[in-house]
Amino acid sequence: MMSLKSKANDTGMAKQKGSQASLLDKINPLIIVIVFLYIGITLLSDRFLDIGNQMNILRQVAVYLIIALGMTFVIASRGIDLSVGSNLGLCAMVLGTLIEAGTPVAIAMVLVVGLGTLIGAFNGLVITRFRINPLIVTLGMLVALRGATHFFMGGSIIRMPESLRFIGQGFIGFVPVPAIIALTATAFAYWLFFHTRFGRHTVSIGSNEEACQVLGIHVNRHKVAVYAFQGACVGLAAAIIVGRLNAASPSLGNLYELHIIAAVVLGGTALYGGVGTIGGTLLGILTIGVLENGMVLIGADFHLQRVLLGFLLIFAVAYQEHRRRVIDTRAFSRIKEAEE
Amino acid sequence: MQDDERDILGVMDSMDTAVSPLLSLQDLRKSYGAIEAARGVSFDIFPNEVVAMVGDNGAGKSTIVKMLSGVVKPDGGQLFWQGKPFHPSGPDAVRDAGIETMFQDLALVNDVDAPGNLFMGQEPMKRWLGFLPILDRKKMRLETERLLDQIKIKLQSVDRPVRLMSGGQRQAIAIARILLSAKAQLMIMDEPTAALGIQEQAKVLNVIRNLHAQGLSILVISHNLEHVFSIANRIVVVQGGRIAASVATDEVSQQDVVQLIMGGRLQ
Repeated sequence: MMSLKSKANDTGMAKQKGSQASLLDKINPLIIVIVFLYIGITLLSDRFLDIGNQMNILRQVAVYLIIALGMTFVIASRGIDLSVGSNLGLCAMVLGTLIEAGTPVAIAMVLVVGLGTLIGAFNGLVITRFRINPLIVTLGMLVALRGATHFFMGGSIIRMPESLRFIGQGFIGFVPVPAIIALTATAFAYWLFFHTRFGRHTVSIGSNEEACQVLGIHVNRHKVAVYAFQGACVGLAAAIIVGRLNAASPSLGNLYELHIIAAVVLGGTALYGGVGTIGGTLLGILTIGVLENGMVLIGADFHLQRVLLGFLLIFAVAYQEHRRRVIDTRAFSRIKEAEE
Repeated sequence: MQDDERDILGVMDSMDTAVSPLLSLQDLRKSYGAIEAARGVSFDIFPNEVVAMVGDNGAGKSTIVKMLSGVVKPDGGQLFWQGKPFHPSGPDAVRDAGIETMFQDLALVNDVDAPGNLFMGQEPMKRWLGFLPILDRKKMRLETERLLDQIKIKLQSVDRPVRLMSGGQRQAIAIARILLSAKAQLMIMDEPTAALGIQEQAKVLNVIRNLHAQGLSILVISHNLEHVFSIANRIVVVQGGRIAASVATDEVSQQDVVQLIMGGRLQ
C-alpha cells in the first residue's frame, strides 16, 4: 500500500528510469519505420522522392485516411466495422446515379454523406439493440451492401462533372485537393478524439463499458453515434474517390476494410478498445501508402503487395500486444519499487 | 434493549418522527430470472444520517445499491426522494437529483487517468482561442489534486492510466469522485475501505465523518463491523433480500449485529 515512507524513494531512481522509459514509449515507432522506408525506397528508386510522386502518395492515401479516422473511433470503442468497403461502393454508386440524374454535385454529396451516416447508424443500432458482435453484424453488412449495390445499381457510371473531379483530382498550389480534405478531416478528428467528451467517452466505453454505464454515460446511444460517424467518413471518402476515378463502379472499395483496419491497428489503436490515436492512424496510413507506392516503383507484383499487407496486419497486432505488456510490466515494477 | 420484546423494525421510531426522510425505499423488489435478489426492501435514510447496511454475501446489498444508484430498475415498489416519488431514468438522473455512488468494483475506466475518471460523464469544457470547445484538462487536474488532498491520499502522479495504480490509489479515486458534486445530499459507498491498508482505512472513515459533519447523509455498505460502529448512526441488516432489522448503533452491540446477520433475532 501507499506507505508514507515511500515518498523519498520515488523521487530517486525509480522516477529517473520512469522518465527515460516514458520518452521511448511515447514516440510512435512508426515514425522510425517510415524513416527507414524512405531511406530504403530512395536507394532503390530515383523517382520516389520526386515532389510529384510524394504528392501522389498523399492523393492515394486520402480516401483510406478519411475512412480510417472513423475506424479509429470504432476500434477504440472496442468495435469493428468490416462494412466500410461495401458502404463506400454503395455510396459511390448512389452518388454517380444522383449526379447522372442531374442532381447538383453539392446536394448529391450531402445526400451521400447522409446515406453513409444512416448505414453506419444502422450497424450501430443492430449491434446495440440486439447485442450482436460487431464483427458479425458488419460482416453481414459487408456482403449485403455489396450485393445490394450490384443488384440495384447495375454497371459502372463514368464521366463526372468538373466540380466533382476537382475534389478528387484537383490541386491547390502543388497540394492535391483530396489530401487537403483528408488532412482537414484529420485535424477535426483529432479535436473530436482528444478534446471533446465524445472522444473521451468513446475510449472509455472501449476500456470499461460497464463502468461508463453506471457513471451515467449513454453507452448504446454513444456507440450508435460512433458507427454513424464512421459512416459519414465513408460518405465523404466516396465523393473523393468518384471524383478521382471520374467514375463509380459497384465493386469500388473491395477489401478496403483490411487495408484500413491494418493501418489503424498499426498506428497504435488497440483492438481490445480503450486506446486510440489519431496521429498513429495518420502514420499507419502513411506507412502502408509509402510501402505500396515503393513497391509499385520497384516493380513488385500486385499480389505480393497483398501478401505483405496481410502479414503487416498480423504483425501490428502482435507488436501492440507485446508493447502493452512491456510498458505495463515496467510501470508496475516502478509502482512496486515506489511503494516498498 | 435486552428484555425489550418489541419488533426490531420499530426501533428507529426513536428518531425524531417530525423529520421526513431524505430517501425512502418502500417494498423494492428485483428478480434476476428465478433469483429474487430483493423481496420487498423498505427503509428510510434521514437527513444528515449515517446508515450502515450490513449483511452476508448474497443477502441483496449490491442489488439495493444498484437500484438506488439507478443502474438497475426495480421490478416493483417505490422510491421517494425528499418526499416525492422518484423514478430515475438512469444513473445520470440519480446523480442530478443529488445522490452520488461509490461502487464496490469502483467503476473505474482503466485506460483513462485519474482526472478523467473523476470527471467521467461530467467533464468540464472550455473554449480554445475563444471559440473551439475543448476539455478543460487543467481544471480537471487541479480539482482532482484538491479532492485527493482533501481525503489526504497522495498519488505520485495523477496523469497515468488508473490500470497502473495500486488498489488503494484506485479506491481513493473512486472516493474522490463522489466528493466532486456540489449538490450531493446522499453518498452511497459500497465497501469504501475494502482494498485499503490500516492507515488509509482510517483516512476514509474520517472522510465519512467529515461529510457527516457537513450535513450530508451517507449510506455505507461494509463488512467491517468495527468501522460500522465507529461511524454509523443506524444499522440496517439485510438478509435474504429483505431488511431483517434496522437498529440504532448505540442501542446494540457488535455481537447483536452479528447475530442479526446470521439470521437470529435480538433477545
